[in-house]
Amino acid sequence: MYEEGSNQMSNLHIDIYAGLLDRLLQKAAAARVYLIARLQRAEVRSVTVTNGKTESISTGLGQGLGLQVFTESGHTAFAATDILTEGAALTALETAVKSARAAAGAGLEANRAVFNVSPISARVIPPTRYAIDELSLAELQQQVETINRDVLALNSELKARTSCTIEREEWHIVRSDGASVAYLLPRCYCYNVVTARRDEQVHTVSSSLSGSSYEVVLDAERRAVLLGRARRAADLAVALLDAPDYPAGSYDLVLDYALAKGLAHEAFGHAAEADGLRSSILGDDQGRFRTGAVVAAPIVSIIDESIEGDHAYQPFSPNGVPRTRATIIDHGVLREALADVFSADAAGVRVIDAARAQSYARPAVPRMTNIRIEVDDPLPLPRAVPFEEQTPEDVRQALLTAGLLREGRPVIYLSGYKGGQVNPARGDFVFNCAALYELTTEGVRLFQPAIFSGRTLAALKAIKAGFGPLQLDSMGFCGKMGQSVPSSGGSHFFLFLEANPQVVIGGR
Amino acid sequence: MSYLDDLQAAIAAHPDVADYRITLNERRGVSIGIKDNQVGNVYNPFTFSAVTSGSFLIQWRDGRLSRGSLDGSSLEQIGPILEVARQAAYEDPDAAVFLGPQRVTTVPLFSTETASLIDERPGDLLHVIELLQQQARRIGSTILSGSVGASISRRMVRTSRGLNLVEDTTSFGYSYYFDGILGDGFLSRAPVSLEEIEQQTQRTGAFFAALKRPGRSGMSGQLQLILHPNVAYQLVDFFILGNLQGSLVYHGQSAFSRAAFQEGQRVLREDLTLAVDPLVQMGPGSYAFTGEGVPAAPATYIGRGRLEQPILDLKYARKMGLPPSSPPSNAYTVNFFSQRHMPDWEEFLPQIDEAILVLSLLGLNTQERSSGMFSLTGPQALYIRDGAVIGHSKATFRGSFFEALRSEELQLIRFAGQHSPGLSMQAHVTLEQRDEV
Repeated sequence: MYEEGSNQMSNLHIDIYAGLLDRLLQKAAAARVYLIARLQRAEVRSVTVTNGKTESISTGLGQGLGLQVFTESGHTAFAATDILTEGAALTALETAVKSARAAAGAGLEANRAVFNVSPISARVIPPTRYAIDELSLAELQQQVETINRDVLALNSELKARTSCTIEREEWHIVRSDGASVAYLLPRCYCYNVVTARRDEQVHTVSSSLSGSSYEVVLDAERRAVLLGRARRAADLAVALLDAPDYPAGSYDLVLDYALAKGLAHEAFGHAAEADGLRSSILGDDQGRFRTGAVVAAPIVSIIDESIEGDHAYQPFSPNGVPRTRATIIDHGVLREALADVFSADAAGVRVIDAARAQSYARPAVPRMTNIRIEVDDPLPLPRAVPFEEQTPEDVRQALLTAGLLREGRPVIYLSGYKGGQVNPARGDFVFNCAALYELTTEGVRLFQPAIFSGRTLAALKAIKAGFGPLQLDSMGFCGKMGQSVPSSGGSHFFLFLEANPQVVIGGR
Repeated sequence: MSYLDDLQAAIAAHPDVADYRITLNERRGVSIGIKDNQVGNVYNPFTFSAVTSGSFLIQWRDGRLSRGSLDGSSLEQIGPILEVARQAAYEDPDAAVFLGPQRVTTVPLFSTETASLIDERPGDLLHVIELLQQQARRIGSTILSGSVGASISRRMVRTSRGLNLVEDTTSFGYSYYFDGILGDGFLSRAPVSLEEIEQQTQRTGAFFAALKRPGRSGMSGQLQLILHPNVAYQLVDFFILGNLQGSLVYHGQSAFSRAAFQEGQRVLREDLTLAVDPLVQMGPGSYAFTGEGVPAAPATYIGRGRLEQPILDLKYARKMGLPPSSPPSNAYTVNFFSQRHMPDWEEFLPQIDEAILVLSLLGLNTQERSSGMFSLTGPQALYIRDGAVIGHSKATFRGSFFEALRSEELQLIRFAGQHSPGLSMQAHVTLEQRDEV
């Protein structure tokens, strides 16, 4: 798929602006500045159905140009416009050039790393099962209404909102060194939000499925997974109406793969982003990554990489550099930061290139794509069935078999990720789950969800085992510096964490 | 002919269009930041943007509706945009409201000084960064991140029924974060003086300095919990304003039912009022009309503890048979106050026996909005004993926000330099077993 140096002209709408990009490069050369020009076109279609009725159908089509210029000294400025005429683009370039020179005059921060990047020419258009026009919006509306009705039929106590969004994001990046990289980011995701209500008790549980096109709603197998997840969410929302609270404290824990993704992403991935290492627990005072530090058990690795077909797919950075795999933790030891062209040197690590941007209108910053926790020699589950069919009883049986569930020492199984937040400077994290199960040698009991909070490094060191195969499709959106980009990841179906006083469950 | 004129003409010329509304925002801005002590680095350089954003609502001749987004290049693609929009049409009769000419109350929201910062003196923004650096050094912060920016916007709404509204505004904002643990941010219409920025950073700096000292650790139980205004507003926004949204109320997904509004149910203590005022002169969140062209007007959503009206756009106003209302645009438009005495922090502090003051919050995005229950972490909190700030504690706290706002123990506290009040309440608090900063 990655055709380095290829002249193949696969269809991208923004190809019509190739001449404009050439003109900008010529002007930048004449002004004796280095230019990274980013052209983006984003097309989105979305249908939302609430309680059987279409709530909204929206479409969006936006495009624009971001220009980051560097003086010979490495001083930089950025300008953006959404008017793709030569006049508007050249005005933006002039503004950026003038500002970069002003930045040099003012002695602001300089960074010449881009001058050392090798130029490539590449075009990546990943295969998608369905084109964005494969379904008319009326047909998509019909599909989403059917899914919503199927979810409502799961339980008469439920309210349900179903939403499906398809996006097609095109990028073309050119640089003054001759690099020209164009790529397509196709995404489609569908989610169901179910609410159960009885008197003053209200519980909302969501589930989602992502892919690169309409297969998430059209293909029988994918649709079954989507509805299977919705069924779990619906059952849970109703069951939680009668569930008591669980006492706060530190316990042996089991996290499902979605919560494990939350742990990897929020608690660890952000701390490994190389633009902020001076204020990260994984960096030192000079902003260098603490490569070689032991931060987890020897069985634990954390890896971030772009995966074709994934919600967070990102084959190249907005700097026009291929995105490569980052083994952040290699068997317990810190190895690689999420570094981009500009931060790698200061961090003392190699270029991943981890930069991403939500929009042409903002500078790119280091971000995760698909991040996962891998554990050596994962333990088996009693039933070799998909994750959606694994029950709390399956988890309990697996723990009993592994000798990790003992008389008088309950294990708390946290299921479903409901978001999280972290402060990388201190390594404080907070997540919430959709449900909390107490697993004992006697059986399983459901309790109200509770926050899972603590210290990043303590949580990592507490990971002692994984169960089942890897599942990496926990999707979300990640916000940083005012930019939101798709994120995803996962782990083995389940992770086991030993009790640690710096990792606590909230609750009663 | 302006860009909007051309867009309007193109939409109006479509033979199937019966009615339409176009909302457009043309914005130009400049900003610069400091990240981990690096001023204007590759992630926070001088950034100039000139971007148009907006949306349209079209009712076709068959009665169906389409929605879509607009930007600065929409005109050149208006054919395909309308084609896709036509395909995307759906039945939503309650949303088909297209206002005619409206009388709006205008308040000044434009500063020529802010405009000149963008066009003539962007370098002056560096004075703010320099001041932040000085302040960071003064309070012993070794790593500073922050930003400063200015923008000028023209917001326009037009409809096929003759509505034609224009509003010119400016915005100036700055934010700072000391050592990655504590910060603040402020907005205004006109640039603020360096003295005012210095005062604000000194207020943050006083709390930052106190965080360097150890507080109490390793306790768990009922405790007086004081939420700094920044934290308190986050909870008010999430649990109260969030549940006032008309669409959630209508669909039964809010903590407050339609019947509760009809009955004027008391949901907060009888002295508490939550109102929105979008018509404050030079108010950082003020506006003259909504994106749908509804004239802005002060609105009380909860008056003396009782539900008065949900936050309603045109669609849900029609569905619920009520007039549309002015939504909050940011914290500066929200007035949450008590009829009882609201002491200043300096007056309140000496009266405290034992409490925890939460300065920053983690985890609000993980909470269940409609339940009102919270279980949160305050990584930067100050332990207070006998009227004196002792030092840093990390607190986890939980309870019911609705119950707290009905409790007699609740107090609203004024903090200097903050628009929103702080809140003092009782909650179950756990202080982490660790006394280091």
